[in-house]
Amino acid sequence: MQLAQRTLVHNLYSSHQGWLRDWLRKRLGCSETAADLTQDTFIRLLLKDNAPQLESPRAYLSTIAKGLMINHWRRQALEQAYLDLLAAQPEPLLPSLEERQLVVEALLQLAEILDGLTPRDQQIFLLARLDGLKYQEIADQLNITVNSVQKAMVRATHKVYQILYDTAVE
Amino acid sequence: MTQLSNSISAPTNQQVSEAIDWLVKLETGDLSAAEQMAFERWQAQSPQHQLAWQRLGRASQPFTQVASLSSIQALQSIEAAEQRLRDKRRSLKTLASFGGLCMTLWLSRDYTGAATAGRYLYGQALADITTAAGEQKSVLLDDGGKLLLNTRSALGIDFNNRPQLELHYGELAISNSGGAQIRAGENLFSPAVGAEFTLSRQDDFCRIQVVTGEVNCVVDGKNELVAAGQKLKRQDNQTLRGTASSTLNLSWRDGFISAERTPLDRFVAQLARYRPGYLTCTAPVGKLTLSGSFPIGNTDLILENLCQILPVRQQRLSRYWVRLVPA
Repeated sequence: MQLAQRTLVHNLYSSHQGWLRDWLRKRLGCSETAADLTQDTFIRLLLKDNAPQLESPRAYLSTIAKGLMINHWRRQALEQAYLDLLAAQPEPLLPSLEERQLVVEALLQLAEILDGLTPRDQQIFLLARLDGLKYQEIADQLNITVNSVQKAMVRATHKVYQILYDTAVE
Repeated sequence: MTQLSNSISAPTNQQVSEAIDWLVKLETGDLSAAEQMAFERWQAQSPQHQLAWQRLGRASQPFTQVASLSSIQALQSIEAAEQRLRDKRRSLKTLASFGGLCMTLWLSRDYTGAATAGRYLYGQALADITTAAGEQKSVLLDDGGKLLLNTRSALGIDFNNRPQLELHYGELAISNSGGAQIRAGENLFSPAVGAEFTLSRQDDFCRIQVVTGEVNCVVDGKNELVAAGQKLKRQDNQTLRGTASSTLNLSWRDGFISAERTPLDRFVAQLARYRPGYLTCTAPVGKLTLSGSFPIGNTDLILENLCQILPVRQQRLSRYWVRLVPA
């Protein structure tokens, strides 16, 4: 990370962090979460390969913050859905808090990957990476060619790579 | 992102695409010897090729964390969550206009059980003082009253305009009251100066028990005077009066949970308030009765005790999930 960029982020932080926290608190109605997400917003900024030149810093900051806020809700919604699922089991199990967090983080990542894939690609990806089926088994189960499975996996893996490593797109 | 990427420039899109093609070929599992060699040559071409391949290792990991879910269940969970998220975004504007209302209310990491979590957390978001499971806090009020807040409770304090407390959830005890009113939902309690009493507000009832002095209550729009040694309970839209003959609802102030020929299911419901996670008992043992006083500082010890004095045993999935079943 360049020194100039670190200075830029630092300046942004001192001029706008109070404003951003208020902005988030109004939308979240919860000052603790607002403080957390304010920090996260600036951390995101620091991690970027090259911070853009900012003409309207507040619009830019609030765009990042909005994404984090939606992610925050998505995590909570996923946790709720997972707990609902557990509660609906004939023999209810309640994993420890730590295990639950791991599952929720994994579901969050899955949701991000599946977002934008076609239903068929989603299904193939899940059968491979979650159910652990081989390509041939997936082809048999869905009554498609192995070649179609390969193509779907190429598309899905591109998506995963982009999420994990592509820092250019927010 | 990785240490490697600091010294090696990131792989090009072309290199990433090639790596993904190789990954899929390898996973299909029918690589000829020639193809195997071609793959090794590809990898050896440059550090970027190696980095692309190394990154794909992470990008192709199986989701072992969700191994307990089938892919259908995972999809269902994700879809249910997205639906909830859409609803939330739709209601965002409406909710924002109320200000101060915590939207994270119903969905918290501090999930302690479907029945109580909602209101408890609701109170917690608005309250000035809160207690966690197993915690008690004592406060000296501005009017001289001594307040003790029991486990899993949330209390608002306002001494600015007219002295008023608001019990959002849980249980409190006040001694030597200075006369500050307490609101609990639609019910209002006005203690006489010097009064000593406990007030409990749970999901399905609200109960006041007076030890000394008297408390004037406005319950369901009606005035009710509750004197020392009496209690009043509001449940299922009914107001019930009784004499407070036992110390059953008072012993928590001294750090004990008490039972007097109390059915196990009721005792366990009480105990669960002092413990994070899930605690219950099955129907067959719920009707067993017990008597005694137990220090609430260590709920694990109480559970062990129960297994000694009653024909029950613990079914434990984790520290946060305990069920008492027939021994």
